[in-house]
Amino acid sequence: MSLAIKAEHISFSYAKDGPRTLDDVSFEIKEGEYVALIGHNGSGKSTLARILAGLISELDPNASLTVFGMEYDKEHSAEIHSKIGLVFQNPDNQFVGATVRDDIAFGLENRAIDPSLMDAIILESAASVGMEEYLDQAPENLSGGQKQRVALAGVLALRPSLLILDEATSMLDPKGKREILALVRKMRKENPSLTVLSITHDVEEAVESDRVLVLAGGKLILEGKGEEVFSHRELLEENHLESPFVHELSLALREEGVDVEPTLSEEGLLEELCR
Amino acid sequence: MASLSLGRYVPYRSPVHFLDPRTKLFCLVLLIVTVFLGYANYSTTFLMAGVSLVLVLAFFLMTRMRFTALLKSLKSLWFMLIFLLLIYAIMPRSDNLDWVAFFIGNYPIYWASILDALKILVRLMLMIALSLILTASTKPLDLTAGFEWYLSPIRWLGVNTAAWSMVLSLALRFIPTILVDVERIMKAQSSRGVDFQRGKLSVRARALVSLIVPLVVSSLMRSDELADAMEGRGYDPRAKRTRYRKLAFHWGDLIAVLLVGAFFGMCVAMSVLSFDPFLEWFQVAVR
Ligand SMILES: Nc1ncnc2c1ncn2[C@@H]1O[C@H](COP(=O)(O)OP(=O)(O)OP(=O)(O)O)[C@@H](O)[C@H]1O
Ligand SMILES: [Mg+2]
Repeated sequence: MSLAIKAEHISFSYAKDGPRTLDDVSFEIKEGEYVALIGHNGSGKSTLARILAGLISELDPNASLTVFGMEYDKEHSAEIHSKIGLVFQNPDNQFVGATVRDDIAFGLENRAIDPSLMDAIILESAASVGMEEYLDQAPENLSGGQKQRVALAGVLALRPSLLILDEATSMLDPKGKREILALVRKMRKENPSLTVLSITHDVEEAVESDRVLVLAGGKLILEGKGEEVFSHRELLEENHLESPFVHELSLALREEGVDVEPTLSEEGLLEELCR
Repeated sequence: MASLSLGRYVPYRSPVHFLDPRTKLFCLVLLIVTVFLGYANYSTTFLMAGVSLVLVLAFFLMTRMRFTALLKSLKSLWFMLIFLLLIYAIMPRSDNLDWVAFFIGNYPIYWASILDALKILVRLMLMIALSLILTASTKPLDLTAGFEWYLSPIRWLGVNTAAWSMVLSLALRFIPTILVDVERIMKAQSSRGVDFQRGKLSVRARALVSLIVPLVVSSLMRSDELADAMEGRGYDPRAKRTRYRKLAFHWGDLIAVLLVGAFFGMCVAMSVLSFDPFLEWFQVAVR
């Protein structure tokens, strides 16, 4: 399977000679993979997302970033851009249009898509996030979760190959959170080649992923399958991150002498216990 | 929150909603000019103001705007009325000083002062109501598309009119969001003991600072994220974009332009000819 992202020696600082926001970060993400990126506040997660999406282009000279096999250069950046969809944290700050319809149209307009085709695309992507009845609503009349679903629809309409969610659920209530996660799951099912990089504070969200990257102080400190990453409890704690509850529980049970393998999912733990 | 509904788009399917934004902008300009025309005398002025008021109310009913919204927006005009009355009482216009309403001590207050103040007030009210009807019946994006169309000639001077109209539509889009911020910050600061209502001027000024500083910071953060989100969705002010919403001129627009144009023409004629309907038609001399 080919690589969606190949990042090598990514370093970056906002101010010249300022502190390094990202410090020699290297990783790979395969096409179709669902990767969670976790890390404490200010660890550089959003900065990394901006770099991957090409919103920041001044990289360190020995850094190399390849997205879908293309280098980020003048020739390819437009094409790379068109393959990446971004959803940010604050639902209000990414709602550009006056209504849901106009907001979904915004991305299509930017891609210079024929206006006569737009209505069909808008309806289809709104329907896929369950917002087809709100097409003419203004953002003020929508809940945060609904606005976030519209943001997802706006991104979906552009048919991205890589979806980057930068704490897309962190301002939502548990219900809104679950809905967004379920939508992402559905999107991946419908399009298995869709690569997802989900940036999150919420370790519970990381459980869903194929792989977890942990960023601390601009450095990539851990990388691997969820069970593996969360077994480094001291390292995580040092960096103000905790393990998911189920994982903690399975470890605690093990300490008490119950014979279970550390696991991340409730079902997994149940199975282990019934064994 | 009711006060925040001011100037907002009110979704509804009225004839006014269906008009092309360019038509509405054109009509708005004509009607505002009409409102500010001077007529032969006070009676004609107020007669025409009455006619305009009936028109405005008709539009108002058509667009299903709430009257409370209008009244709220006109509430602050009380202040204006008192201010104008004061100005005209102190400095009455020199023609028409034979008609004293009453005396304050030895100081005469002329009817002309009161009527002049009322005249300006009525004009302001009509202007505000007309603008509100426009913003209530036109989506911000359509409105800016209309503006852009009128500005398109200056594109030949190298001005990026599409980018400016995007700036305008974003401003319109974010007004409600920022008003919510204002409310939120005011609540937060009130809970910390800041009083926005009472106090000496210096206290009030400090209260205002405690509102403005966080507001500016939060707006800057918003704009930062917005810029990222827009760029992430492929927005490039210099690139060629297509438009989802096409402006289209219909028969209704022609009719609206003709009707408003006729009304405008009639009012201008009355103004220029100093026509006095009371004298000409009813043979009564009213001031
Ligand atoms: N536009 C900017 N200019 C200067 N410094 C910035 C800018 N954006 C972020 N930083 C700094 O870079 C560091 C990393 O920020 P970043 O937003 O990438 O962190 P994060 O991991 O996304 O944090 P959070 O969990 O709070 O979103 C922080 O110290 C922050 O202050
Ligand atoms: Mg962040």
